[in-house]
Amino acid sequence: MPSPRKSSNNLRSAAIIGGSLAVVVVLAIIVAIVAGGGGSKAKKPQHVANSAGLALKIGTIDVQSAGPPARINSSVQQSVLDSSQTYVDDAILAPLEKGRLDQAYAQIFDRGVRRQATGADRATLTEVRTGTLKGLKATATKVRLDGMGDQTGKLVLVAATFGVDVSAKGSGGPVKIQRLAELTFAPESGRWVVTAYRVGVTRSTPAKTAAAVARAGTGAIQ
Amino acid sequence: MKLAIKPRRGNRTKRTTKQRVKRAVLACAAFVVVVVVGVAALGAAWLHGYKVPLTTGATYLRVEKLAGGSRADASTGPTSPFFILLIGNDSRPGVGGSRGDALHLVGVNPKKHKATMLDIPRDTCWYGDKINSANATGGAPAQAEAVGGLVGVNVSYAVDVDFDGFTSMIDAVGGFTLNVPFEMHDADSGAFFHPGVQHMTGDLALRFSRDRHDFPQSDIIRTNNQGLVILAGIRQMQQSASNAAGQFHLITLLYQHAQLMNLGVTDLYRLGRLVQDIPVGNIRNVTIPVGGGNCLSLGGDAPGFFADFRDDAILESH
Repeated sequence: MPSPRKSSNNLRSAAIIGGSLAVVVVLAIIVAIVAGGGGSKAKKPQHVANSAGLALKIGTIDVQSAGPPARINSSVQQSVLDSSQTYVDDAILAPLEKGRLDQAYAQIFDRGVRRQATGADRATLTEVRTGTLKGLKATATKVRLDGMGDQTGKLVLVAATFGVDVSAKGSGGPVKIQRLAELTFAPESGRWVVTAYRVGVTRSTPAKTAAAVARAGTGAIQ
Repeated sequence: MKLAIKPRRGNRTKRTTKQRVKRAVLACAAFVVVVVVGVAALGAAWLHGYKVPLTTGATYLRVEKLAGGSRADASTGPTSPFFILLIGNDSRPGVGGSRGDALHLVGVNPKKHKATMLDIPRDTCWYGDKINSANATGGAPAQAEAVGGLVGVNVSYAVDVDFDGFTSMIDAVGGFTLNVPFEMHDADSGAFFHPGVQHMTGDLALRFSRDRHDFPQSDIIRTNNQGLVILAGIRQMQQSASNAAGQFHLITLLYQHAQLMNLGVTDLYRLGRLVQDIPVGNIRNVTIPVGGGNCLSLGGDAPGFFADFRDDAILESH
């Protein structure tokens, strides 16, 4: 038979152990939740070199979620940045330097918008109709990334928004091209591809200034 | 004898104290276990995407993707015309009811960047009964079937909101601006407005939407007024979600305050972009042609009117 004091000590020990266990479990849950929403402070992605010397850089990152906190990890950041860079190199700079689109342009779009991007919207999305220019100078704003998580916190959409300004010499005088691109990416077969876009462009020459906007990616029913 | 009894009393007292301590410890432990398990379960549910009331806020409306409409539209592709039914039901705390008192069928034509909203008076006759009773018997799917049957289209989405949800939702976005078209003085609905542009809270918008005694055409004008509120709401939504960040924010709000059935984030994003690409000026607000009576019969030109609407989701010759 245990003495009353020993029994009381056992009970106290049990209570302390139980309490500690409860605190540990609660802390573990809090840590798990906080870690799940780890924010957007990922590693700085590497630049992709291009012939015109214009390298896009990632700026502000903001992620919203329909469920638990979501985050854009560094590989997704890099993938989206690479595709945005491909767009700048192959759709904007290559036509101005070589007079034609580079083939990788079409590959950044998903099947839903590719036809429109390479068809009806090609004149607005690219500089293929501008023709070759000399003395190209190009600058870009930092790429803002907005992410959207689904009900489970899984990242399902990433929008890359950036501006590109090009100045050059054309046959009729100086040419200025200002672009604001919002490319929305979604995963498709393990790649992040453009599933929607909204791109505005203003082209100015001594003779005229023309502006155009192209949008795609509104198919709602499937 | 007394000496023998005293220790027994002492033992009993000690045993009772010990039992009380034991019970207290057990009760505390049980409480802690319940709290821990509860928190863990809620955390796990939240991490797995289930709605946890404390983390997701109040539910203001329900959005449902309907099977019939989806099937019909899948064959014609994602840019084909489709139809959304907006339902304002009359369910109120303490009053009950869930009839579809406000019915608006929106036809969207993505290629033409145009839409037409058909305002359907709640008293419109459908198989001998008022059409709004379908919502009470079979919810949004039944209401969509009735309205779709009346017009001759497959409804792809249904948005259902009650009085409370309607006012809370409008207040949550800070209200909206509405151009009230005429003088309104109706004690029943509480609608007292002078004509002109004014800011609407949820409560004022509900009063405006419910007034029918100010007009000789009663429910027909009321239905059209509800359409004006919806157009103002779309305009507000377009302003606050003009880029991806705004659209993502709106989706997040929807997930916090809407019960979404068969709809994913990508669906909502594409729908949002679609709405964004249709200027409010390209959305017509038209009440369907109806005759008279308590149970409103369809007007004589209804067949041609509906045919014009269902071919491409927009009214052109009416």
